[in-house]
Amino acid sequence: MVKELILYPDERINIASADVRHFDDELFTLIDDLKDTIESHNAQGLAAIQIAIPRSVVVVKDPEGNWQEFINPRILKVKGKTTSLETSLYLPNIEEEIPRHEKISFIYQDRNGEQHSMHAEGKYGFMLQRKFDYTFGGTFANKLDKKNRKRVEKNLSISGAAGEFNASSTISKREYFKSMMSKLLFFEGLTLFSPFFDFEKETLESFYNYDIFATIASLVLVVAYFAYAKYEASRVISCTGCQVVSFTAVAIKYLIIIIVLFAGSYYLVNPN
Amino acid sequence: MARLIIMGGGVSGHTAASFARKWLSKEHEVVVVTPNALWNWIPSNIWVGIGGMTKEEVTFPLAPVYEKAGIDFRQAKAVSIHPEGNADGDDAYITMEYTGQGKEGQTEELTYDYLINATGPKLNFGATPGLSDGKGGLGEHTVSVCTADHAIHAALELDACVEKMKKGERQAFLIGTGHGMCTCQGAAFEYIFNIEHTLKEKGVRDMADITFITNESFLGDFGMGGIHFSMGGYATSSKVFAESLYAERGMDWILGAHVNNVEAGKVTYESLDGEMDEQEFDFAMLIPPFAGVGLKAFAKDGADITDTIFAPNGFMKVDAKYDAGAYENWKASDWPRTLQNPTYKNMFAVGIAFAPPHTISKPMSSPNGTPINPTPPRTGMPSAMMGKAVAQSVVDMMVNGATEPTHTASMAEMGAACVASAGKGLFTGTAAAMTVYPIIPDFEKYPGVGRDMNGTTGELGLAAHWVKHILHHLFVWKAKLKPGWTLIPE
Repeated sequence: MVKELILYPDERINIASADVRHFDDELFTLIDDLKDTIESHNAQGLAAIQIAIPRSVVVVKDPEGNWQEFINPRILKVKGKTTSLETSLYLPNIEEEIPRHEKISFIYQDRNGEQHSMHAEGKYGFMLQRKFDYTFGGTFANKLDKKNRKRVEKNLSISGAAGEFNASSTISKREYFKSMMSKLLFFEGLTLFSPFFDFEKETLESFYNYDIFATIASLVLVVAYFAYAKYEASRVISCTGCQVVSFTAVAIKYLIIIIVLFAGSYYLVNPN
Repeated sequence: MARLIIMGGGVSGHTAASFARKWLSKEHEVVVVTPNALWNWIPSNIWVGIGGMTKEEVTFPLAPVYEKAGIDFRQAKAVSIHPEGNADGDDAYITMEYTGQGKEGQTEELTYDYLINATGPKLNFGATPGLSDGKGGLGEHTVSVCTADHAIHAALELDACVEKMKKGERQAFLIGTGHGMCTCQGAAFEYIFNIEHTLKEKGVRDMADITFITNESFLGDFGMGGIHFSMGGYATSSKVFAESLYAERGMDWILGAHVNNVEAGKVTYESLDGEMDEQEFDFAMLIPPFAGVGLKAFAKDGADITDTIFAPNGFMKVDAKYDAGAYENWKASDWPRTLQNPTYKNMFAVGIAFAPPHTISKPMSSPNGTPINPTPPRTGMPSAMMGKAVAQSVVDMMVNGATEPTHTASMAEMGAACVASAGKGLFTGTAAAMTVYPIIPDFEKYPGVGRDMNGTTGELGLAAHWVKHILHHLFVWKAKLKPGWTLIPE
């Protein structure tokens, strides 16, 4: 069955594909779907993640036009550095020079789970490198330097697909506490500049009231941050030591900022 | 009164002993039998191996710590276990051979009510021709960072290479695993980055070719089938992360390699594709495979029951599923939870000493039938968690009347954090911090890569480096049982 391709900026392309463990009908259907989808797009090959299936399966047409199926491929050896001008179905209308290896040797399993090894070079080798990379997450844009990646992002957004390649890591919920504190304290910091302006006493009083509010709120947030971080660390049995060190350091840092800012506010903003 | 013997005083044994002592009243005895006089915070040996730390900073003498804590310390090597006693009596006992305390070479029998095996690994240099000195120790061609003394030797060899490079002589560095069945790729990974960093600092980086050789089938496998962390909410592989770290630093890598011979300046290796190849070096740090320490076990009538208690690789059998079969049948529940020996219920094994049911990474072998895949790593954190859980179970069984272990520590329900540093300087160092949950992929609970993406992160930079520094001091403090040690997590 022809499946829908996932296209930029769909971030599912970053998913690391799991190794195939069961060589069964589900795998054979996946291989058939990949072949149908390749035919319908007149493409050379596909990795399963390109049709949103996170399994380490790559199907391609070799230079003679024969189907090749690679399950759980691993590139073992590479020789020679070069670049190749490449396109990808994931990135419509983009053509880029990508750093590649001239020759690769790799191992893979066939649809029966038997292990084989193979060498490939030239254009066919480049395509296999591109497809195998997909099975561990990411696209060829990850191989570009920052400047070229930005340029590709811009070209894609011009053609109507807005997005970014390097999405930030998922943030822990405790980061929200930090973000709230930062905002409160940023505005408190701004009020410290009030002596440079000729504000009315009433205005200064409102500023000072805000500073008191921000200080108290931040103190509450630091405590909440610490308590939540501790709760979060206790939820999984993990290297809690590393986490405790890290969030204690953050809490202390914020406490110092809160104290310094409030001292500044007391002497500079307080009109009384 | 009852006696608990802990064989081994590494991370897991030391943790088990100190907690058991804390929880047991004074009428009970806690005995630690370990051949080493010094306790070693092994993760920091990496820094000793580049000359960034001294042996004294990563080790301390155990005797005074145990004396203060009230733990009976025997500097001796455990030789055999007699779980049913002998013809003269039913009391279970171990035999040991002293290595210190003025009794070197003397053997002694010591009875126990409960036994925790935390003997760790034997560094099996002998498994690869040329890697050992012929007597099972480290050979002359390569260096190691597995012990503090090995690491000091490595730092001296590194200095010699730096001198040669300063005189304009190009040097080839080869860091990695010295056998197809090694674990501890993380240590090699960390060491290669520290080497690169040191060479850069000494201004000779351009004179060095640095290559990583590993039995992993992809870079960043770490014996755990890869670490998967969340990027933009999706599982990303440590392969992408690791490859970019190597590429940025101009280091090459050789994958799926079983080093089968080492000679002066050259290793030969077999690849997963069956081909044989060679790699030359001037400096090589190759990690040996691990085996059990070679403990023997005997029944009451003197019959050898080593095979009943230990797996063929010498590690102790515990409550794991050893007949899980082929890769497609592996489950997280194959992994042990209570770490109790199935035959003798008063015997436990923790840390590296227990026999894992199978590897964590995908099992692989070359067409010639040589198995080439990482064996399961058991780093400090899980080892300490196991030591603590087993100590809790043993205490409950000894004094609280429990008949079954009351606490569990399964690696399938545990996360791990790897903080791999590159360089020791306070402001120049950098590190990669990765956390993963669970260590053993649970394909039933987390379909796909088997990992919970809410428990996994990756981070790179100076902050991670500081965490590693702070952890070094925290853990050494904890191990010395200084005030507040119980507050410091595992």
